[in-house]
Amino acid sequence: MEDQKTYVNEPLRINVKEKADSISIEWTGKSVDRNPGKFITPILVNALSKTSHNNKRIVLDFQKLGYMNSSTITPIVKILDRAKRGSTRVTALYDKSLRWQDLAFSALEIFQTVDKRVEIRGM
Amino acid sequence: MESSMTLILKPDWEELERVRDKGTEFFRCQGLESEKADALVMVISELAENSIKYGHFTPAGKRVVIDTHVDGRNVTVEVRNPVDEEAYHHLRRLDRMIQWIRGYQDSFEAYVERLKEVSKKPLTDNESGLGLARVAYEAKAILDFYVDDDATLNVSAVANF
Repeated sequence: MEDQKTYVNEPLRINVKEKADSISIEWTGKSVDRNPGKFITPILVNALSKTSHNNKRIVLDFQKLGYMNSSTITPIVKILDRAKRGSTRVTALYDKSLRWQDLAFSALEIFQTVDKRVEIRGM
Repeated sequence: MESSMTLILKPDWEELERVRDKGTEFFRCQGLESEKADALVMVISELAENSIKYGHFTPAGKRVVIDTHVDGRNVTVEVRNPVDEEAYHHLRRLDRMIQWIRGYQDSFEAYVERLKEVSKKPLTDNESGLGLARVAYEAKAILDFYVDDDATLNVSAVANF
């Protein structure tokens, strides 16, 4: 059974799907808020908190994201850093055929772990 | 071939979507590939965000002015906003950040260092500080700024495609 919830802060939508082995967090639209962390951080922290009990992998899927400002990158890297230092399994997916996504997300490979527990993957 | 665009906007966050749309239209009209246009629109958007955040817009009616100039393979984006004496803290930070970015031969290294610093900050800290490093890295742009006699801050990014 899947548990699904959509969070909306126009023009950004974040769809969270809890599956048997993962929590999928799909981003669509644009993230251009003045302080996007207010909206994004609680969603990500909640996912981190859930997976600390059940070892599910968090899948951050940015492939359908049209644009993000630099303030959006901040809460994302804070979560990746905490995951790297902890035991959470995280995969960030991006569309490497989109030049802006390739530039923005491939730089996040610095948070990747050798065993791919934290993984940044261009699709 | 040379071409220019000037946008004048109210210091409202909602204006930024119009800025991105106009920027996209302008760069496409110049025949730039979409990936280059995207990078330059990001430059305009990041500099305009900073301008709205840190400018001094009272009395009402003061504006952010964005000049974009394409000359062959060079693209210059200049964003201007009024400042007051309270902005000097921000100007010192701006100066430090630009000098710090210039200290790296490869802007990617500066961006990665900045990502590492930002990632260690508390979750509740809303300060980003990534915008200028991102502009330098993703658009390969050279940043500069000055304050003129009319207390107007001019931040520029020059990209060479």
